Amino acid sequence: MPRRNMEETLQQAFLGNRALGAESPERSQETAWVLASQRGDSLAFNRLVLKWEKSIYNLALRMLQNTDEASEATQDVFLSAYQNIRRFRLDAQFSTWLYRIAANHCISMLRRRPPGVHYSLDDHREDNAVAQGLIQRQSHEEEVMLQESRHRVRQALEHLNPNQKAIVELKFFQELTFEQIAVITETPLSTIKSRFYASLEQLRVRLGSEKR
Amino acid sequence: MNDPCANFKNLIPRSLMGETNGAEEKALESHLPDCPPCAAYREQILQTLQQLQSMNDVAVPRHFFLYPQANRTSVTNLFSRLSPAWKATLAACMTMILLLTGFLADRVRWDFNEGVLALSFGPSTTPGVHASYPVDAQAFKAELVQLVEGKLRQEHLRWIQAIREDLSEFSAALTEEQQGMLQARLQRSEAQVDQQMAVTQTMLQEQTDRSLKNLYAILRAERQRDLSVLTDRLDRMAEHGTARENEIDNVLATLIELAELRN
Repeated sequence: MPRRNMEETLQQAFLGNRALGAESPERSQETAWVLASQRGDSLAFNRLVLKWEKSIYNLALRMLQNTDEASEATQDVFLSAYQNIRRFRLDAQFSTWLYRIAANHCISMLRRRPPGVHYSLDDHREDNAVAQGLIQRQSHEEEVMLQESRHRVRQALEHLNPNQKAIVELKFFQELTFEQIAVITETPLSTIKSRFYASLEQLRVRLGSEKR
Repeated sequence: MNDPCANFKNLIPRSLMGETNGAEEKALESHLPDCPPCAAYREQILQTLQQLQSMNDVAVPRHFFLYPQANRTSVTNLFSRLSPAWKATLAACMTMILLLTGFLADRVRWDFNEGVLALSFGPSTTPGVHASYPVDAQAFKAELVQLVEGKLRQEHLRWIQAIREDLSEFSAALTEEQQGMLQARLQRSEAQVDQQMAVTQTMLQEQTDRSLKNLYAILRAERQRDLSVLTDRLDRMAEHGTARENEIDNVLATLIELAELRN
């Protein structure tokens, strides 16, 4: 597949995977909610909250590894978004803008933590099991293995620095492109890629050594 | 020593993330079967990604809706939303209002006197400090007394003048004989008054003299008493001194005798 030029790539990063000049019904609905929110309609903004709260909450949860802080961060993110909704330009994607607020907020919270302090969701195993909302019926053995796997991954993620956590979260869990992540974090594209692959290598080493 | 697989180890994670082009994919596909370390490395990266995938999204513990009370606009929030030009304009207006208020406040005068608060505006007409200098109460009192006495005197003079006028009108209506009789009677009254005044003056003089004499006598007696006390004291001191001298003489005589006896 031939490489796309930077301009087209950035445009796609901003506008999403849609043909130029056309807007999906879902996107147009979101645009309408954003417009209404800019006019002060809190009900329209709460519709946006309903759409994005799960993504933002899980982003915060994986970065902060603490349910209380994740809830607090999520609420702060939406409050900040509502207060600054008038500054949002409609030619950009709302999700990109929202992820930027969320990533910056979580990175700030991580930097404010005392050095050497690590949090773990495994500290509240019972709450974690409930929060996981395991719907699928699994065998006990599979469930235990899954829990152990998640525990290892959380431990490995905890050892990444805040910028690495943000990039891994946005790329792997939120499934954004590197270009979108570069816009969100206001970091050069090459830096984003190198940080992501360095993080992946760290995770490989840590998960591989813990497995042994 | 350069690792020949270094390039392929860079390509493997990119390939798994879909970041490689066709040529790079082909090169990787042809290298992996012949390179167990690279194949193992690819397997590790794949397992890492699969483990990351096990971190499913969890349900939110609650909704994060915003309520009208939560996003009430505050003054600071409104101010922060203004453009820089509007912020500068608002700041300049507030500064001017403050300066004007300060200027006006300087020209307002407050006076609180006997429970009444009075406000005035404008430059002060009385230069200098508001009076809090001490008032000469005695001079003020004397001045007041003088004024009152002057006023009373004027009233008395007016009253006397009125009586004289009445009398003169009355006397004008009388006959010559009646006027003579009145004149004689007035003269007798005046003589009696003068006599009475003389007697009174004499009595006062005598009383004053007696009082002075008594006072002089009292003072003299006290002085004499004091003198006698002083004299007694001096006499006693003299006696005491004499007694001491006698004692000293006796002691000296005794010492002399002792000295003579020793010799």
